[in-house]
Amino acid sequence: MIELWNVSRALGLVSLLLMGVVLALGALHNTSMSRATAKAMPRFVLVALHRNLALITVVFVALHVVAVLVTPYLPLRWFHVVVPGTASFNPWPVGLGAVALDLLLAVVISSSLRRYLSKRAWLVVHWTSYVCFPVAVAHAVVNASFRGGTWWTLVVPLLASALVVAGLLYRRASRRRAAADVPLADRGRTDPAEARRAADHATGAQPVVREMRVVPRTAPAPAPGPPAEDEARTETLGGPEAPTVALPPRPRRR
Amino acid sequence: MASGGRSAKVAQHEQNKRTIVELTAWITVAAAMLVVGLHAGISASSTAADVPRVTTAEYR
Repeated sequence: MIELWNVSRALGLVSLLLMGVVLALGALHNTSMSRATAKAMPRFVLVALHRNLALITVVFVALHVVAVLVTPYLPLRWFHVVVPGTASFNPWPVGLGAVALDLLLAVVISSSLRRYLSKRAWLVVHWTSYVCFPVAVAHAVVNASFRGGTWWTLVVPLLASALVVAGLLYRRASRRRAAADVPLADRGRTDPAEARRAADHATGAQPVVREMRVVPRTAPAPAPGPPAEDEARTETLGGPEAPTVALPPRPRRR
Repeated sequence: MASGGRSAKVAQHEQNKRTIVELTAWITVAAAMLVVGLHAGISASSTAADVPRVTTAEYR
């Protein structure tokens, strides 16, 4: 029966590692890395892999929970692993595991019912996986015994956390690189005239004729007095390199 | 010409779907093997302090 306890620990550790891989795959979605791999394989392959691995993670978590419940010398009932704080035995580690399980179930069920939910509601629930993962890591760390000989199993939560942190850091760096050449205040904004000029410049099309004016050169008349200010004025045409027009502040979206 | 391009696209799509299934299966096999390996490692290094509610005498 002690073997069953060891099996449940191994299942929990592998579930945590799989969860880290799934979270890292989700964090890399729509980054430059997923765009780079899209040349070799389409993006839907990565998305499908993210979804399949998440479902496999749920299977491993279910096996972990069942193994813990059927271990005879652990006084745990089914509601102890679902409702946090109800377990009298080892309340904090079991409570953390229950919270992680509930959050995981929320993410899985909301993704299964995605077609019935708004995108915003689904996304809010989906982002709770970033809460679920640290709670699961805390569950693993608190459950590990530092007095026994299995302290080395802490390598697994460490590795899973490193995967997730690396994925998030890459996502952050990728987003920053993509928007580095556009000031924060001007992202997503453009002046229509400037955009038209840039499009003409990019496609090689002729600029719009009505923006061009021909200024007839008049013969300079001999002036008896000092030169008038009009002679010093020249009319120029704005090309593609015209300075950016300052736009009024955009109203705040609610 | 157009049907050739279409059939190539369909074949590529089928290949991508196979890739998803194969990758998922391989990762599942790797995870199962990891469970076996971790179980062996935990069993080998486990002591009475690693098992809750079990005394040292019971563990032996």
